[in-house]
Amino acid sequence: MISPALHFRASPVRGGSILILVAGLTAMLAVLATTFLVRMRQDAEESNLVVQAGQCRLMLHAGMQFIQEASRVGYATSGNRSVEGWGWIDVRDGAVGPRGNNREILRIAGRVPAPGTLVVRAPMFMHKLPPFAVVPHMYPNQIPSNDDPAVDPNFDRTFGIPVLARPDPAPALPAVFSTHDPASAAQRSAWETGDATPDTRSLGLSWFRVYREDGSEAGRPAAAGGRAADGTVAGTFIITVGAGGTQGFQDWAEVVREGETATFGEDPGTFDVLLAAELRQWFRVAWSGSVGGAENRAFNPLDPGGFAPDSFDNAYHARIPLNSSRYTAGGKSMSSAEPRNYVGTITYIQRLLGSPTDSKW
Amino acid sequence: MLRGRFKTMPVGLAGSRQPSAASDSARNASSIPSLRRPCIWLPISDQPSGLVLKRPLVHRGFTLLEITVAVAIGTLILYTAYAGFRVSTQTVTLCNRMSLENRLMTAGMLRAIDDVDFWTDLDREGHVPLRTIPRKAINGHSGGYDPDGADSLSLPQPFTPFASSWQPGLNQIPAVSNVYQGDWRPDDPRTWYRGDGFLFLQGNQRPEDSVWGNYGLFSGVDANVTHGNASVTVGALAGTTGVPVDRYTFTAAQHKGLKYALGFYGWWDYLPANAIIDWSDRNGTRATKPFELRERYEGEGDRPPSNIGQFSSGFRGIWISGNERPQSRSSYLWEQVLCISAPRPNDATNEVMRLNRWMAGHGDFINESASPISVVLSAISRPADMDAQRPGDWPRVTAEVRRYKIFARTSQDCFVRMFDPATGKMVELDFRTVGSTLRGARLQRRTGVEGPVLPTAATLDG
Repeated sequence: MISPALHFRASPVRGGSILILVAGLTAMLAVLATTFLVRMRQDAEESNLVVQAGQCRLMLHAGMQFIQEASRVGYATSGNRSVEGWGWIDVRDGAVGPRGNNREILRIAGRVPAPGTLVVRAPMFMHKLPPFAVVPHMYPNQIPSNDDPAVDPNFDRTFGIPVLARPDPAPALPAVFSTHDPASAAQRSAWETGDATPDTRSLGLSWFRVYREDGSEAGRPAAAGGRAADGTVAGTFIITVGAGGTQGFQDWAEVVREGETATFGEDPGTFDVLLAAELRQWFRVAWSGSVGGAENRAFNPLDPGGFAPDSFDNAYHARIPLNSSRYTAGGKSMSSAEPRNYVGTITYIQRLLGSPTDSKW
Repeated sequence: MLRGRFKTMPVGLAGSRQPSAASDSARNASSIPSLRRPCIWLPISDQPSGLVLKRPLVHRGFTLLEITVAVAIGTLILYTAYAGFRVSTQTVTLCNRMSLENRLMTAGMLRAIDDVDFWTDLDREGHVPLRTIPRKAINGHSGGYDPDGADSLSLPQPFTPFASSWQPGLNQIPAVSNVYQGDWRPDDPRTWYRGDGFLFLQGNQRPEDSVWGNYGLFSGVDANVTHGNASVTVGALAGTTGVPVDRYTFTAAQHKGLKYALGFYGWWDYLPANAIIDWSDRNGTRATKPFELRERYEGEGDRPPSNIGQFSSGFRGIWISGNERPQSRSSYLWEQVLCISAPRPNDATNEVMRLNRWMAGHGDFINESASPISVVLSAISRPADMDAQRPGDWPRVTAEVRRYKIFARTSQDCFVRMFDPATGKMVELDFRTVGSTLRGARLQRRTGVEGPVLPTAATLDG
């Protein structure tokens, strides 16, 4: 006997209906899911523009800090640790710098950062282990709080007793050193050297480059300033910032000139693809040897308790121009002689409308 | 003739009486494929063999329970499918909405960053409220400002070109310094300050009492000044003994020029970080510090206009009446606020235009009962619609940049807000960033050309 149910299941007409129904629903869900994924991808790509804009702004900060610091520091060598720059425009006599204590011309990466030249191209990435890194441990010497002899048989000698048993901060050492030995010369050397291998997670994100203007740049306003005593333009810079993977090379021709074609697999097409996906911005900034100060209400190193430095009404040192007075109180100067900034300031920032037309950047 | 014989017909499930097992078997042997099709057995009316098959009296179908279960399951399947589809469509709709919101917020953030860099919220093609034609000079001693700010458009504003705002001879600016000179090099003796920064702070000293000398007295072009009820010669050295004529007048001349040409925000924006402000103007009886350093603006409605910015003698400490002392830009920004903005439409009092030219403070700042920063931030708020022509159900997104200086810092606060008309929710993205300064923005612009352009010719600074 053939049951009706068997007949029903065996019907090709009804089987097709179910298939069509299921297939239709599945197709609709698939279309919805695909549309959703496409939209999310579009959103992610558009959000990437915001990320790139943020990266560029960070690079602007980095570029300005480089200019400030390179005006004075970074020139010491193992043989001469007292080399110090006196500013992009020498604060002593207004000459084009940076020059050393004996007015000798200083170099950055072996090159004189003269006006009209590229000072630095700086692809940014993290080192696996920076030199002189410390372990981000908030409390390496926490007070022992366990009084259970089963956990610590010596608790009666450690419980509640603060001791400086470990260095604080502790050096971050390569993994080969399992235990920190403060007396180890090898460990200290490794700590000073670090590991300059790039962290791959940070590669290809952003870069900046700094070009030092000499006044011949196309479209440079006459009022842009930055002139040394002899009239040479020496204190303004073009900071180019980028969020992408070109590592700050201007174009493929520069890659070839610098002998870095291997970086891009010897393929200009690869460079072009990276360039097309990159966000670049250009800024003109001016450096000044002037330093700030007198802006911190609590900054009162010479008189920490005498004039209520935490009360801004009476925090004289927060308001008196820096290093400007011979008045004293209690044998102490009323005007702070210690600025917080020893590397000059950026007097203005000018975002350029686009890439300089003469490739001087 | 089919009539009277059994015949298989694929007509459906309606039940009928079925043949015996033997005949069924034989039939199946010859037509097995037909068994896989729904069929119905039809009776033959003229049966010669005596085998009588009665027309079935009962047509068997699904029972009520079967139908009920089938309907229930079918309904459940349909509802599940419908619910799934509906949830999917709602999800896509919601994602589309969120995508739209994210895109608008993203656009707002990029718009704010662009505004920070190009200042197009204050000066762009078709909108240049801060480029005025100066027609009014101000008095170094008393200021001479209209208390209600009605003269704001007669005074230079931050985007007025130096060509028309750096006024020759204003407040004794010597001709040799009658242009803006942006390179205040530390090695240049003209930029050196020779006085004492702590002057007048002890014992109610007056300028005339200072044992260290009043360097500001030497900042004018007049050889004689009247102070301490006596006329004395202070400028005899200038140009007569080998000292360059602008040795003692350079910084004062630059300060005066910037102060008039740009207002307080611009003045501070252009100064080097450690510039000391100290010069004297003449009021006929004595030399005094310039009006703007003694007065401040406290905000609309905060104090009577006649008393705007007047430091009270009740202040303790360094702000007692002897406040005519050297200052630095950073120390003046201690709890004082400088800002820059464009006027609101229908702004009767030109409050913002006045704020551009004034330092803002608050009379009760000692006790921090109220901070001028809140007053200033409200006054300079200018949210701009991202898309005024948007569809009615789209979120409204605004972007704005508030530029001010306080605690010796320049701040550019960006606010991006989204208002959703469907849900009433408001989302705000607030961030600070660094970008073009006012001087940089002026270098982006040319005289007679609105907004930032390629500066192939003279800029607002020359």
